[in-house]
Amino acid sequence: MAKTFYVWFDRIRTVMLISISSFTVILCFIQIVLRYFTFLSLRPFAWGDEVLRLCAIWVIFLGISLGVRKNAHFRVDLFLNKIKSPKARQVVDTIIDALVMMVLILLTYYGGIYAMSNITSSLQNIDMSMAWFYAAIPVGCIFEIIEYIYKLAYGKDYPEKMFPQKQRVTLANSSTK
Amino acid sequence: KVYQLRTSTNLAGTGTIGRGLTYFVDLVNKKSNGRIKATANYGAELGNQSEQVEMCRTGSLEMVVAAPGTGPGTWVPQLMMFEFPYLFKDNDHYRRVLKGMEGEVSRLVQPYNFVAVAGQSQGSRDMLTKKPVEKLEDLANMKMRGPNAVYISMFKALGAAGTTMDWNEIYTALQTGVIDGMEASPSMINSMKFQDVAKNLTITDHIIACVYYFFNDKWLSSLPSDLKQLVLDCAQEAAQYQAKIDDEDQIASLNKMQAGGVTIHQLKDKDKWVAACKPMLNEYRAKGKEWNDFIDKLLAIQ
Amino acid sequence: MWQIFFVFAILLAFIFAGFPIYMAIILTTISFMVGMHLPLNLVVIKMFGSVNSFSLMAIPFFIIAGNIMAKSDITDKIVDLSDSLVGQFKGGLGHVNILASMFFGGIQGSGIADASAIGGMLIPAMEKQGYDKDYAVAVTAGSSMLSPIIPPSIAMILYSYYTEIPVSKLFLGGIVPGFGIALLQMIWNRIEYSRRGYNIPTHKFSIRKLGHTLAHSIGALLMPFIIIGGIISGIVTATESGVLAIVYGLVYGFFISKKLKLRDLVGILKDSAVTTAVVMITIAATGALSNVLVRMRFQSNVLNYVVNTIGNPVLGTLFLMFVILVLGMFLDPTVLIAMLAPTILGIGNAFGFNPIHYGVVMVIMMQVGAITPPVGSFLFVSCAIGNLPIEKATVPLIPFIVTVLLGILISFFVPQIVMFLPNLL
Ligand code: NA
Ligand code: NA
Repeated sequence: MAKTFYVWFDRIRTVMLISISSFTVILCFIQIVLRYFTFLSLRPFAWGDEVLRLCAIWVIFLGISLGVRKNAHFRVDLFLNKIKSPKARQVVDTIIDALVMMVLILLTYYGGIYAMSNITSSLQNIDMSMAWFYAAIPVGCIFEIIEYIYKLAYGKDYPEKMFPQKQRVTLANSSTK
Repeated sequence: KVYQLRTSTNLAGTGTIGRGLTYFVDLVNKKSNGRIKATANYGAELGNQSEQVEMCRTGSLEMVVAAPGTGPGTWVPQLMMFEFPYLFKDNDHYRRVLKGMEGEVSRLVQPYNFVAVAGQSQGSRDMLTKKPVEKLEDLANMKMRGPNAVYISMFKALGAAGTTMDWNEIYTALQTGVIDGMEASPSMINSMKFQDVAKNLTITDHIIACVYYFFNDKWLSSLPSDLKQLVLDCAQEAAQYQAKIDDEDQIASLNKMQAGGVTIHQLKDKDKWVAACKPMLNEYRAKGKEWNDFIDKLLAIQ
Repeated sequence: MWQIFFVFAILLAFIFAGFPIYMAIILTTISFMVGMHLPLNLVVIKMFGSVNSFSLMAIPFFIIAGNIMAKSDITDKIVDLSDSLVGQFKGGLGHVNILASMFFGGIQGSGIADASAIGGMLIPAMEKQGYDKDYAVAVTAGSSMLSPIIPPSIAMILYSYYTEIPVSKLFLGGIVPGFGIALLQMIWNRIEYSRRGYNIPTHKFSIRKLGHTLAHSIGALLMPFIIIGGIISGIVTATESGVLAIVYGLVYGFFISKKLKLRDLVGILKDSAVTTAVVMITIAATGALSNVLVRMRFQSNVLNYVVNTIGNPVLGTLFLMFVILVLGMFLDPTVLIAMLAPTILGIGNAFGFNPIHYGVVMVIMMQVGAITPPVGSFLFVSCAIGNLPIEKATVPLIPFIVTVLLGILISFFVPQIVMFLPNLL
């Protein structure tokens, strides 16, 4: 059950990430091209810049949760590594993860309010609610919380436990850090 | 009790809006005899304009200096109409409109916890181009940078290709030719030294830009009535001060540009420019009743 | 003043306790916001606003481009060619990295674009040739400093915006210091090459071999030409050039080298998203922290202390540089410039320095923050591309930081180095 949920959660996130990041690349390319087709009275979209920036924010907030799984976030574990007893180390790690989750819950709450209070606000150059973009904060934080829950429940190597054999190989290769 | 009045503008402290804000803060501190402690931040110290507006709305600032259209205009889009091509005769007319619309703008932004006072003009905007522009045909298919959709529609109406671009990217974009020109007030152009990379300025006076002092409504209503009046009076006084230095500053900026080797062009066919932008107004009237009403109120002030 | 150091003490404590760095920054920010009775929604406003910037889009674009280049053998071809060009010199690819940053810096003004574009190409290439990863990352991060020093420079434009000093003069002032720092870095590169006992086989330069490599790598070689040509000819801005690189990378990978498969794209985009996210979430967090510092009225405290308490121009300036260095360890140059530009101008004027000279020196000083650990965007981009923890990059990076500091001190004490070119105009 928990595994199925994780696999689906990961799929949805991948689809979101891939579609949003390819959209930014394609949109930016179209904007460049459109500047040169003015003779056909084609014009770049006024909303192009704005939407691009905001899509990048979605990529960031979706990406941070994937960063947890791949253990890719910058950190200094100089002193952590000095702890020799595996038990003590695990306690410290759990305390850190729990604190991080508390901050994430806080960010989800305030990010959620930020998005809600902006439902009626609109982008500068296109009639679209800013809430769509502020929502990246709570959604990204909830995704990250999910990663941490799995990490607490299944241990550090939870990604390998979640996926069938075949995928595990590619996963191990892509996270060399 | 000492009340805290934290204010911020996204414009540089050296510009006329920034100097006006300094004037306001000093005035409040002096006149309130220490009952209000006013402070100011300039430029991007605290964040960009939309961040500052959000801070003011939610109480980590008591007042923000913002353009109505791009500031609280995210909730009340018709405020964009303050920056619309060829709608106002000149700067003095524009200032009368800003004063006259104070109540209406305040009414519109009240649901979002703002009160608008002390509207200030940032001067009329002209076009800086790499190739000289003196008549409408000269602008045909030029790649022109504008800050938002209104400007893009204006460039379309004028036959140019409007494009948006980050303010910080303009300098190199002009230099390499990604864009053929941009538009802004002479003092804005001068503050970024764009004249180093584009040598023709056409006095088009197409749009005038403005800011209001947006106060946090809850904070303002929490003041004792004498202090509230004092703050509002100081704001008006600061606006008058800004109007005086801004007119001087625009002329000084033009002179600086000319000294820097920029050729200043006058329009030979201004009527054509005005006529080309006329149909835009109907497009914006058609956006809805709120827009139409707001436009009527704007145009009623002479 | 003391409260500022208190902020950094708390931050360091969180960082060394082993929190992810962006979390350490957010935790510090939240603690102080609570203490200052600020509404906590300020954290999310600032995090969102700090990354809502078009110039930062260079990061995702060039990171995607770099991953595509690596998968479609462009990187290999560039190694081959560099090898046949500078293979006779010891430390060849290191020099190539520095020279490439100088050249790229001469056409665009963002160190982030530099680190991501050049790092994406040369970090894998240097590793392949036998350089240690930590050194490849350090050279890349260290030399990406050249982009904002050699004109055009977004940093100088911003400084000019806040202080009204003509940007053309600042630009001209950056040229000689920029070349000087590049030279110092190349000297260090040569020394380090021997110190690390690298023995990458050198061979005599041969026109025949060069011609052969050229013929075989012509498709891959178009890549830098497209990026640089796209910017110079005014087709794209520096940020947008990342997209040109992606598009050409795809064309090359699918149709020319045929090494790229459609399903590779999923992995490329996912990896790029993670790299982008871990760099930019830290920038977002830094934005929130800087808001706390600004609200502590940090700037006027510094101005007072330097001008009134210290009083001596040289000592005062050295102290200001030290403050910037410390701040720069935690904050990024863009944030520093927005915070400090008017203060720096004020201090320079109070001490009677030439504002152009003082401005150029201090803008370079603020750039150092981008490569000083634990927080710095050029460093992060390079580390993320090289897949290297930052503490591993720290030691090899120190000499590069020293080259820049050396360049700054020389430029400060010998004003002609900065002022020579601006005075000609
Ligand atoms: Na540069
Ligand atoms: Na740093």
